[in-house]
Amino acid sequence: MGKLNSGFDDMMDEISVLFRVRGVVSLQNILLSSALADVLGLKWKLKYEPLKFSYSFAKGPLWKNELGAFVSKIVQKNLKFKSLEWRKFKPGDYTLLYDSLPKETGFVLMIDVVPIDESWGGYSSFIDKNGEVSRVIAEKNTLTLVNAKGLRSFVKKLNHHSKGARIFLYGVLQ
Amino acid sequence: MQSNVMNWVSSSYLKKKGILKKQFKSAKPFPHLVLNDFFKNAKLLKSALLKENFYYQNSDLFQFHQTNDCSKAKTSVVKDFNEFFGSKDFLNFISEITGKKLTSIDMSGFIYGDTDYLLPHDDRLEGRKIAYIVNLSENFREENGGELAFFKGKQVVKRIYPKFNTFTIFEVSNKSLHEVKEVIDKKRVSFAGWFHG
Repeated sequence: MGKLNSGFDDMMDEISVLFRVRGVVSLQNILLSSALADVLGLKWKLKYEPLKFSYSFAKGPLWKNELGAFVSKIVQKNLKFKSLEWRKFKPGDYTLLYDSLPKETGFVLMIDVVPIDESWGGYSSFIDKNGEVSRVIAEKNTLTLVNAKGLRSFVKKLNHHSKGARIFLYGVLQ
Repeated sequence: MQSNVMNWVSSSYLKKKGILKKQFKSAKPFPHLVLNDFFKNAKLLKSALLKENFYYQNSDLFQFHQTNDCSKAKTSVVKDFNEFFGSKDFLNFISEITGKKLTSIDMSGFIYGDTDYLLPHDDRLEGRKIAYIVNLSENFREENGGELAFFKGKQVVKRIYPKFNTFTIFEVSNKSLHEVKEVIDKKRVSFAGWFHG
């Protein structure tokens, strides 16, 4: 049984056009409630290198095939995941644009579970040589797809005002 | 105000360069010094600094307000202080303590407000030999954050909490990993920059 909201199936042509024009698309209420329940049981491991990043990750349920097919329909190309994992940023966590951080080579998928106010930090910022191209602010149960080819990205440090952690599924497809 | 060491530095420090040199070299996790009540006229300096224009800086690495380089300061007090920092007398004083040949400085003013921070980095850039912070923050408690934290590997092993009129210097190297922790409900006011050589 699928974990994604099938209500988007009939709108795929419009979503696809929107993504082609804007390079980014967000879809709310993407996961069914059974999928959201799976997220509660994730077992987190810290990933910490002070000069590069501080956050936790988990493998858990990834729904790789269903998500891969869904994103392929949006992009209208047969895409495969190069990486896919759950990520959790609690207050104080961050990622940095360190010197050896490579540019993205594909499409970045994020499915946020809980909303995070922009003023708390925790958003994903995609940049090119001229500055920020796209900012993804976590919204409840929302999929965001970014055409990130040639971009680099970081997660803004989550500050002490945050009422919780940012939890999202993060993957790169090519 | 003249750019003479006697006019700016508390006289007690001018007599103990030998002790400071030993303390600097032996400090862990990398050479540094934290000198309390270091400057004369610190109150005047702070009030002059707060008259300068500050500009919001926001990136992956940091978030704070910063002045332009203090050589272009609006107020004569800040301009004089910048000149004094770059004077031969003061460069020689810091050179003697640190054992580094120093030839110039740069200096900016900073205000870290609530949620502002500077994430871990090592400061290494061509010519930077010694980093410094002149802390002019008042009434900070540990729960207000804003401390300068020194790393050994991945662990913070030393925390220098904001304290009014404290002068901190440390050697810039591949070991000088440090950060300024997020400030909570306070304003952290300082001058900071580098001695170059």
